[in-house]
Amino acid sequence: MTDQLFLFANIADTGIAIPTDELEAVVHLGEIIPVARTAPCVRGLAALRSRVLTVIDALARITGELAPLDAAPLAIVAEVEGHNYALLIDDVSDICAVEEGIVPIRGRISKAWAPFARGMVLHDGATHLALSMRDLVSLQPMNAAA
Amino acid sequence: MDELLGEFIAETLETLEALSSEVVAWENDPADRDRLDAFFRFFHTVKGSCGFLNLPRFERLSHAAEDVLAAIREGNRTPNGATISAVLAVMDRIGHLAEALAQNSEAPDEAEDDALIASLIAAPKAGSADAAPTGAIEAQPKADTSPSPSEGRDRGPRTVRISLSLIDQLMNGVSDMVLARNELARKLRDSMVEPEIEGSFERLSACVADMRDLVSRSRMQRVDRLFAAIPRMVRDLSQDLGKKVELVLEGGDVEMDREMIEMVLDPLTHIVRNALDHGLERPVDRIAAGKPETGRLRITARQSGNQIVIEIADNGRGIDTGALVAKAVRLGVLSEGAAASMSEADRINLIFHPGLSTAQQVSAISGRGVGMDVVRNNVERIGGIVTLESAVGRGTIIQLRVPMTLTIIPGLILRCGSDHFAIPRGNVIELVFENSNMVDVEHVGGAQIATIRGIRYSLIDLKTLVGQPRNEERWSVARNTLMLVSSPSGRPYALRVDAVENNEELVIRPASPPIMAAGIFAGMTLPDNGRPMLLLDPAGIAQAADLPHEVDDAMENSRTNAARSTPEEQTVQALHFIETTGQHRLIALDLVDRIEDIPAERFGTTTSEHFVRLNDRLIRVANAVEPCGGLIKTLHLRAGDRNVCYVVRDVIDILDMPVRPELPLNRDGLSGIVSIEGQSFEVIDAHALFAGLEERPTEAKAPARGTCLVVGMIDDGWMRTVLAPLLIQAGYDVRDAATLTPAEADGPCVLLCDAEGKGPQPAVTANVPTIRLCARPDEGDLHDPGPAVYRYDRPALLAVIEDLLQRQAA
Repeated sequence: MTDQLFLFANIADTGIAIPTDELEAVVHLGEIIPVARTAPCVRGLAALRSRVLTVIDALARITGELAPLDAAPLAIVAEVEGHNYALLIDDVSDICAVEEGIVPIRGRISKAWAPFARGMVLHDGATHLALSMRDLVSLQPMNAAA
Repeated sequence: MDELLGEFIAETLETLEALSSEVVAWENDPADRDRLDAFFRFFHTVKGSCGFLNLPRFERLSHAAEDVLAAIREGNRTPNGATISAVLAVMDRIGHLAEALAQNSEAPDEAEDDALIASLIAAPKAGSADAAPTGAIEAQPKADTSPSPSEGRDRGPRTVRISLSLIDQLMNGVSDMVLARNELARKLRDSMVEPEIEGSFERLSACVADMRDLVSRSRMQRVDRLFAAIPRMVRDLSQDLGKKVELVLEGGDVEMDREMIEMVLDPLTHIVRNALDHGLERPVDRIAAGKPETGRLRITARQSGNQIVIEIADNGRGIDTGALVAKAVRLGVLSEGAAASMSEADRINLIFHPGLSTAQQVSAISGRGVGMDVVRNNVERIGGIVTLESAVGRGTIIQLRVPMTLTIIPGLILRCGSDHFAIPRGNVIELVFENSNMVDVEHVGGAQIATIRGIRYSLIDLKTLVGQPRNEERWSVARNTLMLVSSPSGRPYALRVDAVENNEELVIRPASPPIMAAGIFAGMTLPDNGRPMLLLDPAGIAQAADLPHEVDDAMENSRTNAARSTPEEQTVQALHFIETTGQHRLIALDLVDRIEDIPAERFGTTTSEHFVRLNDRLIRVANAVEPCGGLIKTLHLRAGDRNVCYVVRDVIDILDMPVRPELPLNRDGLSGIVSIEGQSFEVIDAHALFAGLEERPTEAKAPARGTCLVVGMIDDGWMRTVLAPLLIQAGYDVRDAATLTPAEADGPCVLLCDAEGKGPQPAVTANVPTIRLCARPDEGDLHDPGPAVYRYDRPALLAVIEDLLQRQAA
């Protein structure tokens, strides 16, 4: 397997890894405008230059709890199917190539995380869950799980 | 080389696409020289290019087809169905080969080419027995029949091929530029710059605006492109199905965004397939049903505001709602009780339910499972609406209403609590303050109703809809604004917002699916304050608020009208037009005989009268004509045997007008003011219009009922030029007393003379009643013989003449 570049970050104190080819940048967001009548994990809209991002709360998306929002929350910016999203995360730990890439899951993943885990990524002596932006921003699987 | 090849493929496919719409027309009239030439040119071009590019298969196919077409052109062959099918098959094969080449995929088997060419050649010859033998066709010289390449190509504007992604990037770039300009504009406003800088900024700003218009135009394409594939599809399908179909395409010149065309293509194709497969009957069944053998499929496109309406109408068997309901019940989608209480409109809407179809058997044409539900989803995803009307045995009309473009729309920016939203300006009919005396808001059983100038609307509170707490006192409505919003389907409704703040051109981008899931947004935009804003979707709001849905359908309307036909709400049809002076007015439609554009030179004016010459008759014109050339739009009004022309600037629409005006006027030729769906109109008082005619009859009355002998008519100027015409107009035979004696007069007669009674010989006038005309009103009945009348008292004069003549006749 060729080396694959991953972004390592934390959501709810869980280490996650997202392939970097799925994302564009990690930024601090400005003001988030809430949007009515949407799923709880949709925190609203934020502007990034002339682009409008749909802000998805990763924590809410996975566990259902709303993440506390500080002044300039950290988010991963990605384009999925022509739309721009910002995924709120706790922090970013590293970006680094992993030789083995995604390896099969060992152990039993909790129900909340299970729909999103695509495998595991070993890095820096720790195991991270491999996630995909596409799963996190498209809302259909969550409704099925809920 | 690769570039040349790519160019060749793109050009070939494009020409094929364009030609496919010509196929059917050509088939109907194979002798049509222009179309024949177009096909010939296509094969000729392909042949020429592929020889150069070394594509032997293309060359063989196009060569064979070109030969056949050349033979037809020279009259050596008569085209028939088989020939045309063979030519089309070759066209298709060339298309497939080109696609295969483009995708580097495997090309169809070459052996089949031979079969195609064989069928091309085997097609029968012209009727004459001495036609060239089969083999000779290939040997025919073609050089002299080929048009030079430039001849066919240099028509139409010059174009350059640009990749779609480049246009998209261009659009994004321009959008960013607009945003940057807006931001700069805001900063300039805040920082009080010198006028000079502001001037340059204005210029820049105008350039950016022009640029944006141009770029958005570059994205527009004619609906023709959407229609291009349909004739061929209809032809092929109807042949497969053994049906006869007449296809009518209208409105191909309407333009819409390229993206929208692509989005609409699949739903449209699906509907057309459905119409052919399930809608139109086989010729036998049609004849049995007493309909013409050939079914009719009519597809029209038109622009309506910022929407494009595409209507697909067939005159087939319609949708059997009974079968639909039965199936829904069988599948457990619907309970029997619910089915029984469903309205006809709801029944028809079952067709949009996943998995329901009335087709008895599933065919290869329209497939299974993916039905109208998919069509509806696809159309709604792009902010469109599908409506369907159907009458069993008579046909089905499906209407797709889709936005013309999603990118830039004029919008109103409104505030609701702390949030701002945009709404398409085209959907907003009117803004009223809630505390205005035209508006009355009621709460009944949880429903809110706003009555605006006598018309009731459902009221939706945007704050409630977006889940914001209403923190102010519930009944304090003083500062709220009601926005009368037309939803693309159904009736307008009133939307309560805190305030309308601005009016801007908005660059709309599609919102992401999680946002669209809210159901009330149509897109999003980034205004110059840099805070993202959502565009409200009027139809979605109506749906989210669960308003009673009313189909905008004449049948439905007449039913609801009948249901609430209290005297107050009685309506008549009225024509909505614009006066030459610009006012919007209504006139009862029954009075309007026809609308006609009349050349300006046929109009004439005297000091007090306007008239127009029509078919050698002068017809009065009710209102003044602006002195301008060209054609003048007029309404021909007719009541009984009276005609009058009414000059208008433009005719707008036919509306249902309440019989009783809201505000009666009865002056200036107006009977009152009515308001229809929030717009006020003055109504023309037809009675006054025609009553005005009565005083000045333009048409000759009954033939002369008597003779007026005027004394001194030839000598006396007043008698000749003032009195005589008056009497003639009143219908009498007028003669000078010197030229005609009463004895010679045929029938009753009177004598008119001046106050002194001088002139006539007493012997002559002995038995004739005489009227003396006095020069002054107070010159009474001083002398005895005959009555005296003041000569300017027209009614009295005419009455006396009439009286005297009738007495004689009796």
